[in-house]
Amino acid sequence: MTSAIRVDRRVLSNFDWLLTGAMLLLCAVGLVVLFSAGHVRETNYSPTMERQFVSMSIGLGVFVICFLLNPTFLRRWSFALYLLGCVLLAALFFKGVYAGGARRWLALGGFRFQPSEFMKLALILAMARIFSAENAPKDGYNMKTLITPVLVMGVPVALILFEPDLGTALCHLLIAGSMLLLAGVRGSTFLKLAIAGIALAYPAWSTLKDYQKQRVVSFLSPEQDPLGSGYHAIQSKIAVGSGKVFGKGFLEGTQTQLSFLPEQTTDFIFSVLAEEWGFMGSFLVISLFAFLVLHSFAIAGRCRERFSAFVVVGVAMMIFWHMVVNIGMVTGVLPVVGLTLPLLSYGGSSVITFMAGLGLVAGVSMRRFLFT
Amino acid sequence: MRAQPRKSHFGSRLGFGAVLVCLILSLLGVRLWYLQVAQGAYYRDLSENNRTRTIRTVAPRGNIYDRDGRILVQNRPAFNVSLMLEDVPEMDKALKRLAEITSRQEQDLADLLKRGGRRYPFEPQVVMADVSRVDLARVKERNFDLPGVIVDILPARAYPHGDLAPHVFGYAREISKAQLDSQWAQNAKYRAGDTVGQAGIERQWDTYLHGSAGVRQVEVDAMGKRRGELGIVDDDPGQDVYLTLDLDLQRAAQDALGEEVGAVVALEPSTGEVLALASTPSFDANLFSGRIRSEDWKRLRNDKDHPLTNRPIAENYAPGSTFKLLMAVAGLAEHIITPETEFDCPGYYWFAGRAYRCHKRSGHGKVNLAKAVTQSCDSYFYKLGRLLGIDNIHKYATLFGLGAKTGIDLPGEQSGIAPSNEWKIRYLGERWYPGETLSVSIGQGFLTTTPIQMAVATAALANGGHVPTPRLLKKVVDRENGVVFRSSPQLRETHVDPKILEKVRGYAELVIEDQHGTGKRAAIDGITVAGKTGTAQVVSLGKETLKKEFNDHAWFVSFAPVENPMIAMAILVENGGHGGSTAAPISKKVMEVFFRKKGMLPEPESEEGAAAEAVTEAPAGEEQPAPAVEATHRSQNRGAVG
Repeated sequence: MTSAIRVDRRVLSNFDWLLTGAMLLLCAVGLVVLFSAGHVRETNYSPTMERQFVSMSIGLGVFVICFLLNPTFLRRWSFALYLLGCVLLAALFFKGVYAGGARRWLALGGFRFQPSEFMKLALILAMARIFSAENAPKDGYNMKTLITPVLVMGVPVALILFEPDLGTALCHLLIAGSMLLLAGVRGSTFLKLAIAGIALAYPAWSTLKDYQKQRVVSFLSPEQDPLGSGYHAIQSKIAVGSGKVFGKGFLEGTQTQLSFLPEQTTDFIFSVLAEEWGFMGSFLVISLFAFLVLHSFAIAGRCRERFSAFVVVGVAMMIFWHMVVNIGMVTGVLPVVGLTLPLLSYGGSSVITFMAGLGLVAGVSMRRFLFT
Repeated sequence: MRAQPRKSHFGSRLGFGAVLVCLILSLLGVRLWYLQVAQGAYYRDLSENNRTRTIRTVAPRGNIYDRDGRILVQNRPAFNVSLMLEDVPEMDKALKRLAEITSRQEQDLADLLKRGGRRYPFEPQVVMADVSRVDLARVKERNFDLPGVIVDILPARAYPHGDLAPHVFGYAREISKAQLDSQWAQNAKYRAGDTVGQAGIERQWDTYLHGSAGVRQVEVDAMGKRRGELGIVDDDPGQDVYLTLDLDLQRAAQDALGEEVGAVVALEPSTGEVLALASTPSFDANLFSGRIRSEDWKRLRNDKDHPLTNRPIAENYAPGSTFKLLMAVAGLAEHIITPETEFDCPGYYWFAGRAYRCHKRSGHGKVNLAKAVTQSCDSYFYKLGRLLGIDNIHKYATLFGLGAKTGIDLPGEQSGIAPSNEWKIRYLGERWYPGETLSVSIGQGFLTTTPIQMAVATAALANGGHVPTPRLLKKVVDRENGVVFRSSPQLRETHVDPKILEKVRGYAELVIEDQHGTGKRAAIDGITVAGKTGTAQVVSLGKETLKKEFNDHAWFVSFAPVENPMIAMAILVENGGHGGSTAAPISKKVMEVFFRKKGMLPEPESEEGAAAEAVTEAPAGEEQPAPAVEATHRSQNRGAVG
C-alpha cells in the first residue's frame, strides 16, 4: 500500500525554489495588473484583485499538497481522476449553470467551478499513465496503437465541445496532442493523420456555431466591423501597442481605465499589463513563462520515471498553450478564443488548476534524485 | 523504470520540443516588439483618439432688437432627441417606439438619422430635432424602455412677435453642403453643423450674430460616457444687433395692410434708416426656427400670394403715377417747363397717329404743373415726357435711385428697370421708340421699381436731394465690450436745385391738401403731409376686370411734415385698385402712430373714434386707369396707367 504523501527531509532539501519563485512572481504581477484592471476609481479599490488573492491563497495550499503527492499514488489513481473529470463534464448537461449561451460552470455548495479546468490536469495524468504503460509502443505510435490515447483524449474534448466551449476543447487537444508527439508518433502515421485532418476541416467548419465562425472571420479582418465582433481585437491591439516601451504607468492605462478593453480582468488581462507596463512588462512576463516551460522541460528530461516526466511535460504544455493562445489572441495574431493567461487572468478555477499543476512539477523536480 | 534507449528518444524529442517552444515564444516577442515599439506611437495616437472627443459647443446667436431696444428675435432652448446607436438594441423598434409616443412620423426619424452621415463611435445621432414640450415629456417619461435615447439642449431662434417682419429677420439654419464649399463659409470659418443665417438680417449680419463655437475636449469611456474634461475653449455668444426698425411702426404697417397683399416701407429721410419694412401676407417666423415641418413649407411655397417673397425689396412693379413727382423734377431741372407752363388736356394725348388716353376721359382742360401733379393728369406728363426724351427721364430716374439696387442691408434685393435707349439696345436688341417714352412718363411701360426704391426716391425729394442708402442696422453691441459698431448715414447728392425740389414738394402737398387732390385720405389733422398716388394696371383688359387678381396695383408715396420731413413712405397694395383709396389710408395709419410717438399728435381718445373717422372720410379724387394702348408693344402683365 503506497501512502498518498511520501516525503522525507532529504527530499525536501531539494525543493525547487526557482520554479516556485517564478510562479510566485507571476502571481504577484497578476495581482498588480488585476488591481488596475478591476480598479474602481471612486473607492480606489479593486474587489477583483481581492478575490483573486483569496483564490491564490487556496491555490498555494493546493500547490503544497500536489508537490507532496506520491507519484506512485498519483499514477495509480490517474484513471479514476480522469473518469471523475468525465463524469463532472457530463454532469454539466444536467446541472450546469447556463451563462452566455453555454453550460461551463458547476455549482458546488456555495462555489462555482469549471470541470474543464480540473479535466486538464486529469487528462494530463491519464495521458501520462498511458504513455508510461509497460505496453506502450517502443518505436512510436502507429494507427492501431493510437486508438487508446486518442479515445482517452477524445471523450473530454467532445464533452467540452458540447458545452459548448471551443477554446477549451482546443486547449485540451493541444495539451494532449503535444504530449502524444513527445511520446512519439511514427512518421508515416503522423503524415496520414495530417492529411485526414485537412480533409475533415471543411465538415468541422460547417458544424461551428455562427458566433464561432464570426470570431474566425473577424480575426481574419477585424477592421471590417470595428464595432461588432472585431471590436475586441482592435481595442486590445490599441491597448497593447499604445503601451510603447515603458507603458503608460500603473492605473494610467486609458484603454483599461475607460473600459475600452473587453473582458479585461480575464481573457484580456495581458493587454492591461502591456498597456500600463509597456514592452518591458510584457517581455518580463513572457520571460517568466518561458522559464517555467523550459525549466519544466529540463525537469522532465532529467526525470527517470516516465509517468512523472510526462506529467511535467503535460503541465508545461498546458501553461505554454494557454499563454501562446492568449497572448496571440490579445496581440491580434490568433482569433479571439476565451483562454485564460495562466496565473494572471482572474478566475479561481483557472488559478488553482495552474498552481496545482506547478505543484506536481515541483514535486517531480524535488524527487529528481530518487529512483537512482 | 524504463530502458535507457527509449529515454534518449524521449530526450531528443524533448529537445526538439524546447526549440519549438523557444521559436513560438520569440514569435510572440517579435509581435509584441512590433506592436509596442515599432508601431507604439501609432497605437498611442489611436488610444488618445479613443478616449478623447472634441465637442463643438454651439454659441447662442446674438439677439435682434428694434431701435428702442425692444427684443425682436431671441433664443430659446430647443430639445433634440438623439440615439446612441451602440446602446440601441433594435433600430427599427426604437424608431417605431419613438414615433408611437410622439407626434413625429417614423419615416422622418429615419430620414434625419440617415442625414447624419459620418460619426464617431458612441456619438449620438439626432433623430428628432426641436421636439415640442409634450413630446419631450413623453420621451422622458418612457426613458426606461427607450435604451440609447438621449435628449440634449441647443439654442434655437425664437420670434416673440410671431408674424412681425419675418422677411426682415430671415432665418438661421444648419449650413448646407453647398454653402460649406462657398468662399463665404470659408472666410467665416463655418463648419458642418453650424447654424448660419440663411436669409434677411440673420444672413446679412451673420458675422455679428453668429458668434464663435466653443470646443470642449472631453474624456470618454468605452460607452461614450463623459468622464472628465481635458480642455475647454468657451463659446463666444453672438453680438446683439440693433435695427433701425421701430416695432410700433412695423406693427402698424402690417396691421394697416391687413389682409391685402402688399408692401410698406417707411424711412427716415435724413438718414435712410428703415423704420418699417412690411410685406404681406406674412407668416410666423417661428415656423422656421429649428426644422420647418414639410407641410408648413409646402403651404408657404404653394400659396399663390407668395408669402415668402419680401415684396418691398424683391418684387418689381411699375410705379405708376408716383413716378410723376420725378417727372416734375426732371422737367423743371432741365428747363423744359416752368411751373406756369400749361398744356391742354382733352382727355387724351395725340401722338404718332394714336390717342394716348388720360385717366380722366373728359379731360382736365388747361393744366399747369401744380394741377397736373395734384390731379395726376396723364396728358400733361405724356407731353412732358415727349419733350424730355427717354434719356433725360432715365437720367433723373437713376439720379433718384431707380434702376439700381438701393444697397439696403438685406439679401435678395431687386434693381428694377430705369429704361433708356442704351438699355433697350443692350437688353432687347432694338432702338427706343418715342411712343414708349409716353408710357414711361406715367410710370408704366418698361419702367419698374421696388417699393424700397420709391421710398428712397421720395426721401431724397423730401430731404432736399440727398439720396440715402436705406439701412436696417443701427448698431452692434457686444455683451462684454459694449457698442462695437454704429452705422452712419450714407447719402448721395443729386445736385438738383433745392428750390426745384421745394416746388415739387409743394405740389405733392397739394395732392393731399387740395380739394381735387388724389391722396386726400392720407391727410392727418395737425401734420402737413405730402404724397402722390399711383395706380398700375396689371393686365390690359380695359376698365372692366372681374377677378381681383387682375385688379390694378395701388401705390402711394408720402412724406411728412412737409416743412421738415421726418418720415418718408412707399406703399404698394397688389391688386388694390386706386392708390388714393387703398394705399393712402395705410400711409395715414402708419404716420399717425409715428407722430403720436414723437408727441406731435395727441393719443386717440378711443378706438371707436379713430375708426369712425376713417370711415367718414370722403372718397378721394377719382383716378381711373387708362386703357393701356401701348401695352401691345410688349405683352407683359403690368401695363400702362395713370
